[in-house]
Amino acid sequence: MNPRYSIGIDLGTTNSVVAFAPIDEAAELQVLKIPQWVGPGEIESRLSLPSFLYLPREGEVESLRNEFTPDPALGVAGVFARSQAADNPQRVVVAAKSWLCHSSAGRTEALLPWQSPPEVMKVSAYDCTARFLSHLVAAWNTQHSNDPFANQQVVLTVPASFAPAAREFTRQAAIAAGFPESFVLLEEPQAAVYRWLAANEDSWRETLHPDDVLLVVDVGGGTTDLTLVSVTQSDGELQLKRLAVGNHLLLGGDNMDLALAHFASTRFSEQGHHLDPWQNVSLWHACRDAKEQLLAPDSAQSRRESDDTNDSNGSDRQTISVLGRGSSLIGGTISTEITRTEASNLIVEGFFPLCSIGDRPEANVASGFQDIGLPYELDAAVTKHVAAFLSDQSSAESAGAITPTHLIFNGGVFRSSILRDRMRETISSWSDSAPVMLGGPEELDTSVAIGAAYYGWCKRNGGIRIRGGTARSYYVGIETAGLAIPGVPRPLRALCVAARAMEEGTQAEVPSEEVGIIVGKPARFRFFSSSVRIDDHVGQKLDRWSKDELVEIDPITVHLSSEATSGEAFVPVRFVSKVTELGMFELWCHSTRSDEKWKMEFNARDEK
Amino acid sequence: MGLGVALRAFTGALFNKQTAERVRTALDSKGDDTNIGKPPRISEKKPADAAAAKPTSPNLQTSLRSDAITLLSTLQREARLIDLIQEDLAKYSDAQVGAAARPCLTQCSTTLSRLFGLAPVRDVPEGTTIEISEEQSPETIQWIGEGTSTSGKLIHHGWMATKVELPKWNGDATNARIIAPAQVSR
Repeated sequence: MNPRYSIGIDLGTTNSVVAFAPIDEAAELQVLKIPQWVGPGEIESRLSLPSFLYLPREGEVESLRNEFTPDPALGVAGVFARSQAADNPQRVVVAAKSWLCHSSAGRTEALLPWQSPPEVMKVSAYDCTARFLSHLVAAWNTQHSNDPFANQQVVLTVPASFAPAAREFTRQAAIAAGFPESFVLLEEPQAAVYRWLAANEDSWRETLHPDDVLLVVDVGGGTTDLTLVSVTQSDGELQLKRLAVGNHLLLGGDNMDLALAHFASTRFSEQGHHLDPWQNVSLWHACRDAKEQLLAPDSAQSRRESDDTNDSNGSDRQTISVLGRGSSLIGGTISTEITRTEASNLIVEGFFPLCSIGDRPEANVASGFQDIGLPYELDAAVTKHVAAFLSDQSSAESAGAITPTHLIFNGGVFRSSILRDRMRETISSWSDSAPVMLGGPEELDTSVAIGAAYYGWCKRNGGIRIRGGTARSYYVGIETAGLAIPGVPRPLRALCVAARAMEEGTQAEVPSEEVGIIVGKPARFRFFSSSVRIDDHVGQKLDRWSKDELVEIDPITVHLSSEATSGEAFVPVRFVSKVTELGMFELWCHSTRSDEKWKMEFNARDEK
Repeated sequence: MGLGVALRAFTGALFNKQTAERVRTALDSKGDDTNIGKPPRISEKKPADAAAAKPTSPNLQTSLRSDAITLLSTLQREARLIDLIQEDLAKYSDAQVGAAARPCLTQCSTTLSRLFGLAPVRDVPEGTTIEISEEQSPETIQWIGEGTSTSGKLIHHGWMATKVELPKWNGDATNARIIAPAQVSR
């Protein structure tokens, strides 16, 4: 049965959005309304599903049961869950997506909510992801009962910087949630490019020229994702190719709101007010609004004018009020003011400082973001992370850093024209000409989902495709045989099993010596990726490398059961890497003695 | 074949508005004269309007709670409006009332525009002279003063809801009058 709709899903760190378009008609890309619990007994349809999971108390479970939440005991997603994060933080899982790509813990082990008391049920980041996705599937199915979700063309977006293991977990969670087997993973920054292409279907070929380079800066709620896309010409047609993807940066808009909230809460404690956790969360929301006001487009204009006259007028400040906790609202309300200069110092200079192309994020800045168990970026300067990313992409032919000719911004943070201008100004200072900004601040919240639905449509009907393949090169660590010295680890050699830009739908046999795998016992290999060694080819062996060149990610394992191997003690194998049509990277072991082959698993159990 | 198609297009366009529109689109498009294969456009409508058509809950039984209570409950939850209204204003200075009212009213506005899409009945600046057609209902246009003129000066632009998207109540009758639960800490 042919799918009737292309559905794009943006599974965000803080919000998830679903967009769709009919495949066979000239039709509109729309955003799906998602019914969800908003309060006790109340269901409302919203344009996004907050990615929060509330684990209800026993007495609440029955009242929360409905078609989107068939088993509330396993967690309830959405606005109600987000509001409970204030009152009952111990029962709410936040930032599950960040946990999913955080390899040291919490992916498949039921550890979340982090550090909650024993009476609260624990879930894993994987469970949480599956819950969010099955809520979205149910939301679709109740509104399109003739076109069930499982029969549609579905595109799910993931951060470009997601490691193969995080992708694999996301895929499994999606299948468990009722996604069709054929669904496609798409990188979020690419989806933002598709969104722009969709909006400029008729004119983009005039805007872009061969040898142009697009930089996508995607600052989401919890993560920052960087991607370079090049424009080339072939047979008179413009082609887009994804060149490179930055490392996974746990740094986003939420960090900026928290920085402002931290500043305001210091003010309050100077006044002698100490905020309880509920008030802290409402302070966080108040600061998010204040940030948008203080860094809003029209205020940028007025700031320039007031700078000219050297005069700071009264509208350049925002009152931050935190309402009283009990029903006595007025008596309990406390407030303080944040000026535009203060907000600008904290956000613009703190997160987007002007810097040179040679600047690097500092590794030992105290940031205070680490207390929730996630390894947040130590240096909050987004601009420095961009500088480092562009410098790392210097290729053999061009000695310097790559200079983008065009910029696409994504993420709600960039609603602020001050931040867009600052980012552009910084990048301009690294080259002779200023990059052109593509797209406006409209609909930043929905552009990834819309871009994904558009991509699904193009996949069915033909249309522009961004070529790219794997974002990184991948390596398996092999211990060299040799005399074992007690206390000294055996020297490790890295074998390149996939070169960068390995395309979807291809596979590569890795030329190497045979590797013996013991039957009946899981074989475990260390696994590395590199975003900077761009010229390595499959089969290349590295004897040494610097710490920045290869990043160790999750180990991979393969388990050869004795039934499958006709009683042999060990099997010599070679590696074969493969990128599926759906964008999944896979590594296989092929026996060198028979036709048998085994798929290697990105390790599901974290046993560090 | 050409003549048959032309006749069908002619009669179709003449008697059926939708067919007319399709014929127009086909004539306007250059070369690849079919809609199939034409990329989708990003909806310019607010998604709210686009997706509003179908009820979100298949549960069609009428709610056990008045929509008015649901609205109060929403405004209390999101903006704490009931708390503000129930305060004894005599006890506080204007500055104190202002500090509490500002975030409350800002949030009320966000909430009401999400639920009702508030818009002026006549979207022109107040003070403008406007023409009023005869079939305007008294609910839509209220005349002030006497005379027979069909035009007049807009004094107040009025308000209307462009949509009604209240939350659905899913609870039982015993709780139907609860606006906000009591909160107890342990």
